[in-house]
Amino acid sequence: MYSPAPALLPVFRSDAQARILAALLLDPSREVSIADLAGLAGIRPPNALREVNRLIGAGLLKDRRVGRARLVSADVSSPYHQPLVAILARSFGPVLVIRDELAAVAGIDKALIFGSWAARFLGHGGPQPRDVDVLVIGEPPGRELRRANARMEDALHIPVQITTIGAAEWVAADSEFLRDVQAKPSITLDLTGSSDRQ
Amino acid sequence: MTPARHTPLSKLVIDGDLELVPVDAATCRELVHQARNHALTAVAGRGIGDLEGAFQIAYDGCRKVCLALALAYGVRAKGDTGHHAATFNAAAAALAGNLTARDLVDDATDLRFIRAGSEYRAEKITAAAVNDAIDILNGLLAALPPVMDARLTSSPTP
Repeated sequence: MYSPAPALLPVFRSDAQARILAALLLDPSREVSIADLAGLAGIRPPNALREVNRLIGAGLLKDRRVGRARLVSADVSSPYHQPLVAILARSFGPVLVIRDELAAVAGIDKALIFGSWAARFLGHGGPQPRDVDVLVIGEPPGRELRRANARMEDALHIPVQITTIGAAEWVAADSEFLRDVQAKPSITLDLTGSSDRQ
Repeated sequence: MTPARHTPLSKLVIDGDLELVPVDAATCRELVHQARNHALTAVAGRGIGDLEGAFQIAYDGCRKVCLALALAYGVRAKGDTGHHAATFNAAAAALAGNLTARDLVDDATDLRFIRAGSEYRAEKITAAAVNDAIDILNGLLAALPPVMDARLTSSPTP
């Protein structure tokens, strides 16, 4: 399964490599099996294994065996760890940070990232996004959502524009804005688990 | 909480976000007076269904009462860009020892998200947002002027 360079920041070897690094370096406490990393990166397990071995060889990741499973995590002792975290947080961090922040806010039925950032993340070429557009569907408490919004911007150093609508409004989709969001690339955030659907 | 915005006053000055100014008690009290009027105007605007106007005037009241506190500490936002954020940050810094009041300032700071949505993305202001803004303004008007007055009477220079 071919994984091209990521449109969001084409300095990584492949989109899969960038997603593996983002999944592990942005949460250094996380240990993930090769099979789960393959799922996260959207590639087959043998390709994920090759990618992981390359990154372990470079000292960016480390692994340990638990029974028959091989668990992979970030090697925080690498001199490249912190600089890479900064780059990954800015480029690939929004999905993780926004998902985690919104998961902690009550009253959200569904949330998705749309607009130019989502398009780049999903591999559609174009200019670098200057902000991240988020649609929240539900009735979250205003102050709680705004506080989460502020934390997202503090963490990501990029404006995060949240639009909130009701569930009925989303289903009816009777505005040009909502029809546009539903027609164009978006990332639905899984607010209950750890995977995100596109 | 958003720790990144809770920068000490001295660092905000060193970093160039704020500049030192002479303390003028009359100006500080005039700003609080304006903010109290804005609270009343916001309630009146809400009463006639002008939600956008009510929100904007409540937000401006929040900004003015925070500016009054900052001026009582002898600082104000420097330059033309980001001066609203710098004003709120100055008030939050001045309230470092009063977490309840600082939380209110943080709530006022976060109103910028509603303001940005209304001004730049033509999003409608909801009644809930207006109610929240008025509540926050009334909270600030209860919490900040006593701190400001104490500062003005005890230590009029930064």
